[in-house]
Amino acid sequence: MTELAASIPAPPRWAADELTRIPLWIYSDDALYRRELDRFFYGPEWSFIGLSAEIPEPGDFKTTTIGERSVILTRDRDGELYALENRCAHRGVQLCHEPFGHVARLRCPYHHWTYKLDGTLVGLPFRNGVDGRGGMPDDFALEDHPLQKLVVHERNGVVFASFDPTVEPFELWLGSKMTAWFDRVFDGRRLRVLGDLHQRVNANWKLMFDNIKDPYHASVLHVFLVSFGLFRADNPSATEIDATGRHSVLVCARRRPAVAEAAELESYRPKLELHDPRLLDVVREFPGEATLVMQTLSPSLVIQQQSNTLAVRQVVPKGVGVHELHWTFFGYEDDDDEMTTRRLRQANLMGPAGYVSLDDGEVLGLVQSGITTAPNERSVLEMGGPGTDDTDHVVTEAAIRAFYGYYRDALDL
Amino acid sequence: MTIDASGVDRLYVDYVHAIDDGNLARWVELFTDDCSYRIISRENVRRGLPLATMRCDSRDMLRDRVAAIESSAFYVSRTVRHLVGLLDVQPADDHLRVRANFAMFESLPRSATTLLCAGVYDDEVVSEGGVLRFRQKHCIYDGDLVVDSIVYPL
Repeated sequence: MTELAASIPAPPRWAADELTRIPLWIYSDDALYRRELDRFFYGPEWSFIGLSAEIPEPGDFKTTTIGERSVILTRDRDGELYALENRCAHRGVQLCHEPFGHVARLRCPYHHWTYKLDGTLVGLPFRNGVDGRGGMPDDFALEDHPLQKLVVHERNGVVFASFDPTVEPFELWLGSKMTAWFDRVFDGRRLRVLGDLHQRVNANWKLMFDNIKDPYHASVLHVFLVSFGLFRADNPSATEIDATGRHSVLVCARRRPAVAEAAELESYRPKLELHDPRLLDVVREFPGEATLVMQTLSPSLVIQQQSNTLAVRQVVPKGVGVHELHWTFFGYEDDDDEMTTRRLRQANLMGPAGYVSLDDGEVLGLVQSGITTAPNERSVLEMGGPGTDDTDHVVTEAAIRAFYGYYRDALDL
Repeated sequence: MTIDASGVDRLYVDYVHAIDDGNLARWVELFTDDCSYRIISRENVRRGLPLATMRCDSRDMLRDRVAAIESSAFYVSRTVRHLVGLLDVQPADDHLRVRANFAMFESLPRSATTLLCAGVYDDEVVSEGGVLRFRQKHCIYDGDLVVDSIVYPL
């Protein structure tokens, strides 16, 4: 065994000052993947677990995931939100198997151990035995056996949780620059959930973040976006990165200039016209020029505003080479029917059949195929120079470099 | 108004062959101008949520989808194959309501065939000058998780 293990070379170190070269083994190394789960998903970071509007009434619950661990988000009788690990304290049974529901108590199907919606154990059958025989010992205390409780923070209807009670306060974690973008979409208005999409992507979870942090590809891969001016390298645009490097936002203002000007651009197809223009019947609804704002909050959330289609995308790792995207599309309670229809039509851009997102899911599978057999090679991230600072353009890979700066330090790679 | 239902089988055969043979222009012709075509997850239907995975509110939107599939979208090439179960055809006031189970298989290059989706069609068929067309075709798929992508119509 020892000899066999010794015959596999250790992965090369990541050069100390090198963020323009990303070692490919970080996308395929199983031991590293386990460390990532512990550090990012079960460690001191905030993970997205749902929208308050998904469980509006006391007694409502939602099952969700942080990393690979199943979590129940509940709304207790007093309206308070709780996040509980979905695992009975008795034998480890997964308690909730419905994606959404409404209950008075959480009861394990196996031995009927029963919990309040805040995770407190309130009862179990045969605690006092039968006819004076059996039962739990006298010193067995219900309060010693709650469901594992996570720390929870809600901001303007968006709910985050952490397994690690030492996690920094949410607002510090988000940072002032990212808070401004977050509050642009989540401005305190009540949200209306429009529906979910679940998609499996055969690629390491970080590749999805790389993709959203990478405006370079969007100007090239997404012919649809470019041709309709929804995202273009020559549009007014910016990349902003938080102080730690882990979060970022891509911002772009829609513009469809003259054909002659656009003909210089990669992936522009002047003849692409919509037969039914209602698909892109876009109205301005937020302050400022930006029409596309894609925010990544590592490790688990992408916030999407593309024209009038709004969604949160939860990134759920499922092993080193696979992740899922759980999309929740939403609008606002004060939307009229016309606006809701507009959002639902523009949702055609996104998801596993999306005019735009289809390209990403497909290409990320090919990235994973290409890199898995080449762990000792490196990817080249020099677009926009070696920097990790904000830019007033999108011909850059700065946000990816910044993310790996944070990542590498967090894992001491 | 009663519609002669004898052509319904033929409509479904044409539908399946148009997609599976890659003749998407023909697929578009099987719909009315004001058609509603949707691919919807059963979970969204169960929760009463309106989001569709693919939503076309007219035949022109179908044309736009076809243009994207044929010229702008990036995806790994694939063959798709429908299996459609027995049709349950019920006459309604001005249309035929048709329900049928479906499965769609997908074959990528150098890969085994896999099941992409299974579910039920919830359709409305009307007669336009004696030609049967879909006024509504809602494809409700059962398994919530889509593996990779839905490139072609279900």
